[in-house]
Amino acid sequence: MEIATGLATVLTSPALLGWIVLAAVVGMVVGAIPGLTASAAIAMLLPLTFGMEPLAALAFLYVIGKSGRYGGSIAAILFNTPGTAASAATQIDGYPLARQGKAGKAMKVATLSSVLGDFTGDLLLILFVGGIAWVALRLGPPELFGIYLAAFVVIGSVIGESPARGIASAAFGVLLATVGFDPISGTPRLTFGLYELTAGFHLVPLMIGMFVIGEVLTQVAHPAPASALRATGTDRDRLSWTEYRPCLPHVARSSLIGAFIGMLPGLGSAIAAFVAYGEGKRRARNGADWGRGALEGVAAPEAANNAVSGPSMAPLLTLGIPGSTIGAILVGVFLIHGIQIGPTLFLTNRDLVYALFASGLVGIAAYGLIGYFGAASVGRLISRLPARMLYPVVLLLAIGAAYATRGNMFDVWVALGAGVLGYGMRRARLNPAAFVIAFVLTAGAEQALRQSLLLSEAGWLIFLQRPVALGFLLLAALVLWLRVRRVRRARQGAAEAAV
Amino acid sequence: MTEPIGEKLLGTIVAMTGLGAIGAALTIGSGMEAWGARTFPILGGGAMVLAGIAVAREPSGAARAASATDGGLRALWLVLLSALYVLALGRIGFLAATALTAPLAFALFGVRAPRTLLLAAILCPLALHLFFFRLLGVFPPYSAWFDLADLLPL
Repeated sequence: MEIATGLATVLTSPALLGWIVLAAVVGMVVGAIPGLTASAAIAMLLPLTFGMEPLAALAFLYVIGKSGRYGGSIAAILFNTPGTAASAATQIDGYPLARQGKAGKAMKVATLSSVLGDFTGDLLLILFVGGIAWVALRLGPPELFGIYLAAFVVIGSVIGESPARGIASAAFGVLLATVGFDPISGTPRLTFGLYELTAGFHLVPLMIGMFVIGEVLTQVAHPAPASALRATGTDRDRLSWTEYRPCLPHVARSSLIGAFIGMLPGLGSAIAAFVAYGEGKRRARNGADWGRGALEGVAAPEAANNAVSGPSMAPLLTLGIPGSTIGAILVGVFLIHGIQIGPTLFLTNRDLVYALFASGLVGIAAYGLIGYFGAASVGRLISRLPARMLYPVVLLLAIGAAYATRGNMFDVWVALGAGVLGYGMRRARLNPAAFVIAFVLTAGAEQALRQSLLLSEAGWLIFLQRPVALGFLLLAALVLWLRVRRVRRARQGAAEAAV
Repeated sequence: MTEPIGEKLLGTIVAMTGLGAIGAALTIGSGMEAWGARTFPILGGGAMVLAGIAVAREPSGAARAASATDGGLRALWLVLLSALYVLALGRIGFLAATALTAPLAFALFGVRAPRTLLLAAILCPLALHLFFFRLLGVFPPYSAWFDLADLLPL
């Protein structure tokens, strides 16, 4: 089995193990800092991986993403501020537990549930990704374009506040991705005569700007209140088997919910966590205790938001479609190391893919052990870390990282511009994540569309003649219609409530 | 940057950007293909126009967004400081530019203690220089006027 070979590769390489453990610590700390996300950490640390072996670079960033999702629970439980959006559901029961002096118990439940959820997601990925790649290899350009278009529409309409804002954000990402030489004909596009634009915008400075500099600008404009960064519990309370056993059915159900949502591009950890929390509360015998400090209320969202991690790699690796910002950044890492993602990845770099999955499993074990015994210490460290000292350093690091990407100042200006754009998009309630994912998707989507049109004698009608392509176009239309209807109903409800 | 953007204004900006993109895309040659290289810029621009119209028709959410004039101004100052920092990198080198910028950035985040600002001016450039240019081996940005790194044994 390939995964056994992958595990052997990882476990026999002390350097790789070192990177994985370091990633587990970095992700946990960054995830626990309110305002900083695993995406920001990955974008900023990307230049650090340029000189690394491809597997070490990918494993390092992949494990930061996993550990960062878990780290968000520390801030949610201790500071009543979710370190990441995905841990906002954990806060509902986690913080009341901390106020009851059971912060240590809540963090241990969060750790165990995250580990079980993450393992479940990764095992499902390992079992089924080969089959998905087999199917993907048999798809032609029209089918691929159908899938890309569905991904654009789903990501644009589902992420964020409204479908219009999400699609506007995604369309802007498409536009910026087309700047530079056309990859097929070599014609310069939207360069306005500027030589620097002929190569287009590089993904890494764009990401650094959107997620790091944009976040620093948000923090300087709206600093987190100091009182929110105060630990409220102790780390002395132990977790017994009797206490954790009622959580297990919730962990199992939530892991499957998270894994399913993870496979769908754009939905992400936060939605998985809230769906799992709602479903858990509905089915719980002690539903009335949820929201007041139920351990099951911590277990359900944590299992779900971490179970997203593995399956979200399936569309990325098999179709080249990133379902999340972390996935979008990993696309950049693959490209930087000269590895083409998509169905052929399983033919050309099969060993690397399974070694990456194995690194994920080892990473889960690493953050699980560190978190179980050290989450309280991480919480105390974060509570002593003043944001006003942290963010200026993050800004300077981000500018340095943007320069280090290719050693040119144009990238620094791109990062700065993207930072202002990211801040402006947040202020305008547009969605930077939809923007970046669309930016990454555009190259593949354009290639599929142009190949389809060149191959077809029916022109644009080819997408209606191919059943799979037509199916995905109808799926996109259906998702958009459902989302628009839901948003309209929510607005009507809010308007009626206001009256 | 200082006030929340209203739906009508935002929708107009998005739609106008889309229209501008379509206009610019129409100047791109189509080559041998029917639509060619202009296909995606036109589709992206078209999607922006439609999305912009839809945003402009959304009910006003101005009441939901808090006024943040002071915060917006601080963000504006930080953008200006960052832009000056990038310009300074090409004139006076990484060390001097970072030594000047770091304490100002700390001050914008509310740090006022002179000792902390002095430490920021010394430690930030040193730590970042060692990280990027020694540990990662990145070639430092060329400085037109002078570079402290030429004078210091770093």
